[in-house]
Amino acid sequence: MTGTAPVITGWSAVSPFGHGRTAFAAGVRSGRPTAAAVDPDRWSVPDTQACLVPDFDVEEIVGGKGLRHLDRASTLALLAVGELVEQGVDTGHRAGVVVGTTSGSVQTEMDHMRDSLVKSRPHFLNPRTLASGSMNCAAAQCAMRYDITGPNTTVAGGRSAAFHALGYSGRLLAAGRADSVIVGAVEEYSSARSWLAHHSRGVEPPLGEGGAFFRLEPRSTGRTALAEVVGVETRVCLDDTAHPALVDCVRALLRKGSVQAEDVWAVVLTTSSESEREAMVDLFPLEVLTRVPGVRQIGDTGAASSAFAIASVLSVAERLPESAGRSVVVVSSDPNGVVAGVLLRLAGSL
Amino acid sequence: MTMPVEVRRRVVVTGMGVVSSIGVGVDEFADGLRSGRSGASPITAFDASEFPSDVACEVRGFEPDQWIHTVPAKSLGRASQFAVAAARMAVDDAGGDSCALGDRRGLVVIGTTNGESQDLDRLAEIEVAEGAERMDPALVDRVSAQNLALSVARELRLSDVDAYVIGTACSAGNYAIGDAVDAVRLGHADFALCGGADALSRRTFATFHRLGLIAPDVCRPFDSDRKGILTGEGAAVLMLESLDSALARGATIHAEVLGYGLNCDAWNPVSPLRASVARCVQLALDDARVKPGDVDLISAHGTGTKLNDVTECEAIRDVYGDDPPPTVSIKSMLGHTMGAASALAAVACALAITGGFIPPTINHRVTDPACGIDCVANHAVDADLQVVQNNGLAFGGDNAVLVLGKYGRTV
Repeated sequence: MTGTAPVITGWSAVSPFGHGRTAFAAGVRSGRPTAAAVDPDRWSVPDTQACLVPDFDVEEIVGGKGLRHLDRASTLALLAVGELVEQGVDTGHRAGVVVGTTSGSVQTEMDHMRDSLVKSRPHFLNPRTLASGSMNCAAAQCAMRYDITGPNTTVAGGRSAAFHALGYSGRLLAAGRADSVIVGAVEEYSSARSWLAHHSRGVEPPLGEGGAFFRLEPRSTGRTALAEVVGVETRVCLDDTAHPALVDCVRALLRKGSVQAEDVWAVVLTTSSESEREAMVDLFPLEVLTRVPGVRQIGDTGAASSAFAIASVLSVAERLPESAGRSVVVVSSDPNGVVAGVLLRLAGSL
Repeated sequence: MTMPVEVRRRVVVTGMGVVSSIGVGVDEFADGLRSGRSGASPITAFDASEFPSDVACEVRGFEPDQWIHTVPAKSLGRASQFAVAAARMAVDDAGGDSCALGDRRGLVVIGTTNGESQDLDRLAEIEVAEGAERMDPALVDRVSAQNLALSVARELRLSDVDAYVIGTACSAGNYAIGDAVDAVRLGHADFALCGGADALSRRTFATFHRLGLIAPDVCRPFDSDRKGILTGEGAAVLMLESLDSALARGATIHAEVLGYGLNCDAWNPVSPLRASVARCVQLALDDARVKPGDVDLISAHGTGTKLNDVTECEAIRDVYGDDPPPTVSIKSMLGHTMGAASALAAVACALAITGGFIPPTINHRVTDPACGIDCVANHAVDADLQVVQNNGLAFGGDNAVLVLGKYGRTV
């Protein structure tokens, strides 16, 4: 790895497979399903099945006071970022955190509006949850808890949110605005999200939740790189078909990395949608498309999908020495018309 | 650690668009700033009769069809309409079709606090009144925040763009512009459409009332008798490109973006931290390669709350000493337009530079000695402005400060 692209030197996940990177990696490799019946006493939702993060007890898992009223998305972010943070590396004014999201905690936002409509006065919102009503709550909570006083940015996207966030974070590093950035994406399961998904076009149940984060650094730090982020490409589809834009994205990535299609070791589809599959089978052989299991087994994790897709690559690569130095393409196509992809070059295997 | 001079492209503003409560379009907005117009009026966006106050800075007389031609304007939420209209104005201002944006790699980055807040409010209303199964799918499809940027791309037929939204609350506009500055500087994008948009929302109004931060009648930044913010709405979008690109196509250059800085207090969800805000200002000045003595005007975050104004002014004096340049708050006119606020203020700064005036802080009676700044009370003054600083602060401690300069200034 000799280019100027940033590298991933660590990652973490909290997912329906369990808490932590190890649980996620094992889950990806096993392909074990996580969808389970939704508890009707806990959730009033149209879903029968969902992929939830297990053992979700905020106070116990995150620890510390004052978090009992924190929204689920912020809690998931605290959990995932907490696994990754190293004192002195990811803290202080030269460290940043960038969080991808769809729209923050939609549940909290709708709860506040409901309070406004039903309480005795229209501004009698629950004072304990006010901070969670802002989209940047998760990023701000991570900064406060772990003392990350550099750039603190919330990037709103769809299923490609982590790709936008990675591109943004790479730019922060290239511009010298931080020495390291923890970047990823998070999505909560909630009754509000469930109902929105139920009424929304292009959302396939079951819904999932969780978050995955990566430490992104310039290559010069000396910490062991797991992968180089060679490039990020995104497009907006101006008509109903994603196919040409996806192909265009991938070709641009390959050009950027001076990589031939036949040299790509694996391609990962973020949503496993038909449009992703159809576009990629034209470019790559089947064995490349199936080498890394997708993240279907944890459901539709919204903004976190693209982060989980990247994490799945690292999960598989860490056990396969033959992946060392190979190129991997991760693509996503969202019903909102955004197509995106990232080209990774894997470092030496463990 | 900032980039060496030689690899930094100079970044200029060649187009601007504005939707605001004091004027739609850059000319009306400039006229409003110069004359010290107030955007405050009784709220019509929702029933405010049961709230402790009923005043906000609402955009009136906005006709989306005048600006939005490609996508059906009615299919967009109000914040997207604002963003798209402002982007269309910015591109028209930059030269319209002659910009050939479709042939160039671009960035569309829009800051927002609440995205399509009115639509989400409406969905919650439906849920309360009729049940969640009756939610309107057309509204549901609009509420994802990214739509603010995607709608801009669709309207302008831009496919080869990275289009996303920055949700960094009330400094989101400056975050978006700062990101665009870096993208153009580094050559990641040939052009950028950047700014912020938010729509007036009942939930936002209720939230700020719950926090006790809404003024009963008018917003009086830096005044001893200030009582808080007025909520507002609107959008501003700037077209940024490299100086070389602007010169090559003979574009009118409104201002140069000299630099920006961003950081996080990591301290308290709702209270700004003096030392951290001062640090952000210093980061921005360093990035812009200017010294405090070079700065002719500060456009403050200036919300008009007790805590913000005094903390922000203290932070300014930490950097500038006891005699900072004139420090104004256009929130006195526009209210707090949330994610649009620092983008609207950035356009105001560019207009102040090109127009040779300092917009006033209106509704002003007696300056709070604890603020200790010259807020240019009530009436605009003529001024030759070479370098202007634009502050953006946010709940969550997310600060971003932008520095604009007169194009062709002698350094």
